[in-house]
Amino acid sequence: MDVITRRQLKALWKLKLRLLERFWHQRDTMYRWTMLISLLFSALVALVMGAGTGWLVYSLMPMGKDPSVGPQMIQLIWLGIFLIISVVWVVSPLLFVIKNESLTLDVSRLTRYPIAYRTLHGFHTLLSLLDPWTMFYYPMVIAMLVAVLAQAGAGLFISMSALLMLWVLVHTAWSRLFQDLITVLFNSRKLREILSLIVIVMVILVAFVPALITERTAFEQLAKIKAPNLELFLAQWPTWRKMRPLLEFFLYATPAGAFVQALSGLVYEQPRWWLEGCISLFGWLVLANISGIALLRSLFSEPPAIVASTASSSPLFAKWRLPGLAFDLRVMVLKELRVYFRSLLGKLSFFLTPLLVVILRLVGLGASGAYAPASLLLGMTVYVFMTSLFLYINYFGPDGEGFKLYLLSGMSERRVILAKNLALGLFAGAEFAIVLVLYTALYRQPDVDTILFGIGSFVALLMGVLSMGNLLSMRFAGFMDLNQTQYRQSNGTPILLAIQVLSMIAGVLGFALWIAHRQHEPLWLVGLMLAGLMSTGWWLLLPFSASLFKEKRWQILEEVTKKE
Amino acid sequence: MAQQHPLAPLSIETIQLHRRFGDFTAVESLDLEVPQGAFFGFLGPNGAGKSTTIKMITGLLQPTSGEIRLLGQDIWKSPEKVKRQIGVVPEKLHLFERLTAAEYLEFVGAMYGLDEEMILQRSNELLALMELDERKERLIADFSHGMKKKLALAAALIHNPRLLFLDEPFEGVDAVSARILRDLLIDLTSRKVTIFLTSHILEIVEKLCDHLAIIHKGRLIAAGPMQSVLNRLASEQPVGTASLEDAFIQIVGQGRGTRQLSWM
Repeated sequence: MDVITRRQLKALWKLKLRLLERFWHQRDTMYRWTMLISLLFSALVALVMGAGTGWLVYSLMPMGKDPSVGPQMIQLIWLGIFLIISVVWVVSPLLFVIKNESLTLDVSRLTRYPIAYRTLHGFHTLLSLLDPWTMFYYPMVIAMLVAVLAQAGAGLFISMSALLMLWVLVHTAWSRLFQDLITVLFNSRKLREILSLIVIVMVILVAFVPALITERTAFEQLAKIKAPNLELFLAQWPTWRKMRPLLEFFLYATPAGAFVQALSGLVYEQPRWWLEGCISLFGWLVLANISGIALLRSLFSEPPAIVASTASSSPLFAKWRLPGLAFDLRVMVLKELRVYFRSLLGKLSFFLTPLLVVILRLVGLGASGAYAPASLLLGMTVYVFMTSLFLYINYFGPDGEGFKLYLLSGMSERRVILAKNLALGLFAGAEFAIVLVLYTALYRQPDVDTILFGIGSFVALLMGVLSMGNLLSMRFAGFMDLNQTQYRQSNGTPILLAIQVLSMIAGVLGFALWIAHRQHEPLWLVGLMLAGLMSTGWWLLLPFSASLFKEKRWQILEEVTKKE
Repeated sequence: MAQQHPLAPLSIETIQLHRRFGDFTAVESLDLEVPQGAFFGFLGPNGAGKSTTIKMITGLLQPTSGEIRLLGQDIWKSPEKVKRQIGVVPEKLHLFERLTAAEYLEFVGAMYGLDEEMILQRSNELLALMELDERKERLIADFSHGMKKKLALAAALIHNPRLLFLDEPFEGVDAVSARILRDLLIDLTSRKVTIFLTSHILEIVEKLCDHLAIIHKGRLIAAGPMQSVLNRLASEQPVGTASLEDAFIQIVGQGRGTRQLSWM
């Protein structure tokens, strides 16, 4: 390594440490403590997961020595565990992919300097070892080390440590490669949004996997299987029979497979397996490095085409009209609706509840008749607001510099709020209509009474949430996005408050529904009463919100235009 | 301003430089020759391909085809070697805003391989020259745009480059600082440093530059010593009286008559 490269590496290291230090020192005490507690908690969770994994390795280990089971069987089970850890490890930086100078070094700012891409990539990858999402896995690795050594003996300390170090490095390198790949994809707004939506849908689907397995697997029958050993027991389980060829393939074609091979080599005293596994892991490391350098080079010297793109929006948005509204209100409402539907947060807020309604039906929940139709519909309606709360408590954050226009144009405060409320009402109304159609199509045909109650409870919830939004959006005006872990998010107070208020309104509606059921009162009447009550409340609060807006407008301007 | 000998060695040479983005051609068959020590003005209207050209020449964007030689070396064949001899102030400054000015210069100096003592000495001089010495311990995030620009220029000079690329260096800089910058840049060219500058302020380009190139819709319209370009372009006016603004408007403003707003 020549003297210039050494100086460059030293400078980069210093830069990273300085940025991390600034990140820490510029936060207030409350933020630091919250973050510290959150990190400690995450580390504890990782430690518990690592201990659990170690325990699984530990407890399955003796079975591999049993000739009727054999090590390969155990390898396949371990592989299942490590594959999940491996995938989560590699993709977890996605949560932090939005650029944050203090936490992730933006290498695009370094390409103008005389530094080789190889050096830059190597160093950037090694810096990932300090990234928060990588550090979450260290307690897990330590717990695994302790668990395996406890069973197999401390004599394996060096070889097991070497293996775990390789395991960490392989994931750090692949994780960096994944981040760079995402950065390439995220250069295109459309790709970025589609990818984010796919990831969110995947997360939701994964969250429902246990429910799906429970729904599809007859555990009573599984419990009745009497088999002399694990191999035969699993052989009678259809899911396992389907998964086994895939797992055998993964054993030889994934880093997790190589790790399991090396691990079983250690615990079953087969040095050749350990060596083969380590060589394979090293191969994965080299592959990630070569691909990473090539990708980094193309990322900064060959950015994707952005100039040629001319079509900026769907013609659908351009054709929207809102007859019957005063011109200024109409223009503002249309502007709001266009912003919602063109932003990732808006699209997500709009489609999440309908998606959940479909998924719940696929899983089979709610269709058994255990829930009264009105309460099921009420639950879905609450979800319409629950999944789009961000929009209701952050009117001005997305406006950014555009907020100045409200101050310059001389539009009355009341009218601005009214326009924001109308836009949100239309947005939520359209979503509720979709949910109602899905409910009717996928669950059961509701009677008129239930539908009217549904509409009434929707209006009541909307008015309650808008009243809350008219106050919270003035008090906590700063921009909010999905990623609350970003350093510019000082706290989650408005979200917590909003959830509490929404829960209270939902509780009141639920209570009213329960009373109506008990008293055999018509549900539509209850819905209508609550809708009227909440609408009156909203109307009475409107002048107060307008005066609050007038009072806070300069503070809001400062908040929404603040640059971090 | 130094007059160049016609056979003076070239600092920048591009041969049939071409860059496409999908179906869009940003730069087409660009042949540029910039002699050593020249103060070279690179002009063009918005979207003409100036920034794309600078990015390609400074090794930040791969050309679709063509060759680029800086100080006699192909930047795409030996990027690290060439980048050590050039300084760049890009349009988007991309500074590390959570560093102080002094820390940033220290970092940049180290990236160019300078030792600690030299970095300290040069950064102190540069900060004093740019009138940033009193704010050197403040975060760049708290700087105004003009201050950031001056810091970026200081960073581009710390390693004593032989070739300096400046993309809109005077944008957002106050009049006093602009004068300091202009004097500094003129002094640099007298020391055989080549300066490649883009600016929308034609008056500055006319006063500072001795060579000029005009690009329009990705194609080179004119290039060469300033006066000969002006004379060639404004052939209808008496020799020596054509201004850069007239010449520029004549080339890129053709067909754009005076327009008026219907309600004013």
